[in-house]
Amino acid sequence: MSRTNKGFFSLCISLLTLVIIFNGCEDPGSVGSEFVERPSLTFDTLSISQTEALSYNAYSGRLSFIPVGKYSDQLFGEVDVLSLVQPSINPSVDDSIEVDENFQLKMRIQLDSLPHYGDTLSQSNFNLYEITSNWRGRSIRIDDEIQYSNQVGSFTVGDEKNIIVDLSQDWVDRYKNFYFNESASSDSLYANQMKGLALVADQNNSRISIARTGSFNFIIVNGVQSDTTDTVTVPLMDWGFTMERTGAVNSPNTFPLHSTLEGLMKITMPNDVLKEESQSENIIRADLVFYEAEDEMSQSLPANHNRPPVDFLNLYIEPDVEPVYEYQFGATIGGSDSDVGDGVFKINVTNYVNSVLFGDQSEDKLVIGTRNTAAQLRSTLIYDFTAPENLRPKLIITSLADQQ
Amino acid sequence: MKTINGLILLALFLLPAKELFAQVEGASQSRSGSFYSLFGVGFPTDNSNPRELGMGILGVSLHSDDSNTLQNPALWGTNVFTSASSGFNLTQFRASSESSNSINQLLEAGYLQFTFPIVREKVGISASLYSVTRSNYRFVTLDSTATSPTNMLEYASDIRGSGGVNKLEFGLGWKINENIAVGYAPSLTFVSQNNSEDVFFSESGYGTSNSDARITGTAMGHRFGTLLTFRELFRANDRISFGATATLPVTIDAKEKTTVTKFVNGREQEVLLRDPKQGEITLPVELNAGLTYYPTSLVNFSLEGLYEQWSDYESAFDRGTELSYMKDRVKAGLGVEYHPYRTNSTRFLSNFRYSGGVTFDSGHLNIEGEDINTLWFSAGLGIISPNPRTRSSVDISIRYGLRGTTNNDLIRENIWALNLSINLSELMFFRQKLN
Repeated sequence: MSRTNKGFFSLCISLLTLVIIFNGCEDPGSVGSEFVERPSLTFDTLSISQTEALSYNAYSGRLSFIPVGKYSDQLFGEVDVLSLVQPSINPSVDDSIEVDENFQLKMRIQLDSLPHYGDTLSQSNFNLYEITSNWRGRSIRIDDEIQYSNQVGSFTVGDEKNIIVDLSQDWVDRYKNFYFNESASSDSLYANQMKGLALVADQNNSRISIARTGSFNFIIVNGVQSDTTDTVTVPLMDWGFTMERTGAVNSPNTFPLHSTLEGLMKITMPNDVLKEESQSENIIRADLVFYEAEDEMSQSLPANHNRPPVDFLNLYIEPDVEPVYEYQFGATIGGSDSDVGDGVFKINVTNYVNSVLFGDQSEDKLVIGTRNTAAQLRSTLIYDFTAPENLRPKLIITSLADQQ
Repeated sequence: MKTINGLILLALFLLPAKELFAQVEGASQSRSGSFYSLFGVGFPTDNSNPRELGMGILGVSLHSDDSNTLQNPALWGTNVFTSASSGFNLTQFRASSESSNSINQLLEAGYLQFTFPIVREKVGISASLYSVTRSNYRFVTLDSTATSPTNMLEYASDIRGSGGVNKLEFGLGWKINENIAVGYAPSLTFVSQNNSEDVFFSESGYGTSNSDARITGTAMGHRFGTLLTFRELFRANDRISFGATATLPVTIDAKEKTTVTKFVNGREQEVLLRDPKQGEITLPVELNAGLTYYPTSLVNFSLEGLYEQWSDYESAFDRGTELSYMKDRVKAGLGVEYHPYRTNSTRFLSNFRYSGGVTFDSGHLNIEGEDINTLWFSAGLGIISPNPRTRSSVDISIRYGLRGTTNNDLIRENIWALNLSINLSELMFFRQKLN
């Protein structure tokens, strides 16, 4: 290698090394940033208008919980729940157990730790009746008419979480006929001839408790007359509830929302105003804000009474078909911040607003609701469009200030 | 060894070519440069090649029949060789104000130029792509605002500028006689500038905002040059060259499109925030003049100056100009060059070309009453190909500059700049008489 080539080669390698080293040394900072127009936030408030109150009856079967009881809410009316259960005749039985014909059958209720709705210190009395009308958990709604007759048992719910209920021997014997019937038609015969049990709250009850479906079952006590006693858990084959609400108060300047869909509110978004005033704004957040009528709600609740709070509102585009299903199980376009908890519900509608401004979203009718797919009974009262201005529902647009 | 040298040359050549493409596309946003490129359409670019930069001069009067220069179209008429040249600039800006410091690092392409002697040392043409101004600022800031009486929302902003005004230029140089050469270079002048702003919020409900304000537009530009050469004025074999160029003002019809990234119709999309803004950008007249004296073939001295009438600059797209205004720019450089490789010495250090110089640039900005001037100290090294059939070279310059002031809360920048260009010069389309 000639001396010239050596020098050239060394020089190029040095330069490449220098480039690589220097290229990784950047430490950009804020020096001089006072001379650049730094982004700042602007807040605009737009009014939204109420179109109509909507009321539906939610699906109430095959959900995660079963409410049991009755409570007279001064604000939201008297709520009378009829709980419906039907035990399976095909429980899973361990191979070591041979169920004899003399087994006993009991109902076992395990209440959830969720707070009661109503008087937390009261006791509740229930009677068990045999259901006489047809019903199906997959299709039952809260307003379905359920017939029942013949008392099968009774029980009282106090502070305890686990309740074992004895059942009438007549009903248990009829159950045994189907349990031991090994014909292919036994299931359909059972569903047709024994329609389950209704848990009827005593008229003096003043609270609604929540039972978790997975822990609500029947138990076969096997071998009562032998030396060894075994138990077999009989899960529910079907379950659900109906509900009657009467005497709700129409509090002024507010509208109620119920998790059972009896209270929903359709609103009209100010999309024309949005397009006119905000088309060229860099919107980074849009919130629908609703205020809870906390005073009315707390003042209507006596001491030691509890009302499960609504901590989440949902926003829907009004569906064309199957509104009940869509409001209960369908997709939402937004939900309120779950961590607000201060009587203010903020529903982030940024994507909806951007689709209105820059996309093909043309629907301006939205529905506010508080769905509950788990069958917890929750209600809230929201200030409406006639309330004082600071409490009215509104749309708050947060934008980055235009620097053009 | 030739192969290794070729690969290294290719790597060095491709690196700036890639960067250049990125710049033209306005996509080079990963590096940042001078704070002062925030203003207007960016900071004027030094398009002198590293040989000229090493001398601290523009190069308008620096005669060279074996390498490219952008500076004076008249020089293209004196070319002997077909040449291609490009390079890159690596610049470090250590910026400081009275309260804080930052380091910005900028790796950017230099110009790309091809010259062809149509008639050797008589008529030559040039094609080139180069930048006129560059925005390469970047600020990272942290702010907060109250969204409710009990909640403060913090947000960080990454504010960047990239791109600027570029020229795609084709030109012709004509050496009329031994004393006079003239040149003309029309160009497609186009602006491609992007001001970006990414804002990140401390709360998850606020989506990141990514906005880009992109200014584009084109116009035709014109540049004229002349070179006067006189020999044996003061002594035998000496030479003196006087060069001058004039770039006419150009008004670019431009438009600015501001786009933001939004979640629309269920997917992330880039949407137009508002109707594009139409407007004009007027770049000022530029005059260059210089004198280079060659007492011998081993040494030459240059004194050159530039005048740009930035007070005539106008733009419909400038932002934040209430604290600043454009003023006329004057730049003057003085340099010397030494060519020991012409001595036929066998010493290693005699294989190179050396240069040095100093430059004062009054700048085109006045911010809060302070002129933003720059003082440059330069040194250069030229590596000449040992192959007598070519005049290819690699030129390197290292410069140190002091720009701005910390008065009135302004920014002082200490600048280290490394410039490298590769100049490939060959005799093409020339039938050799002897093989």
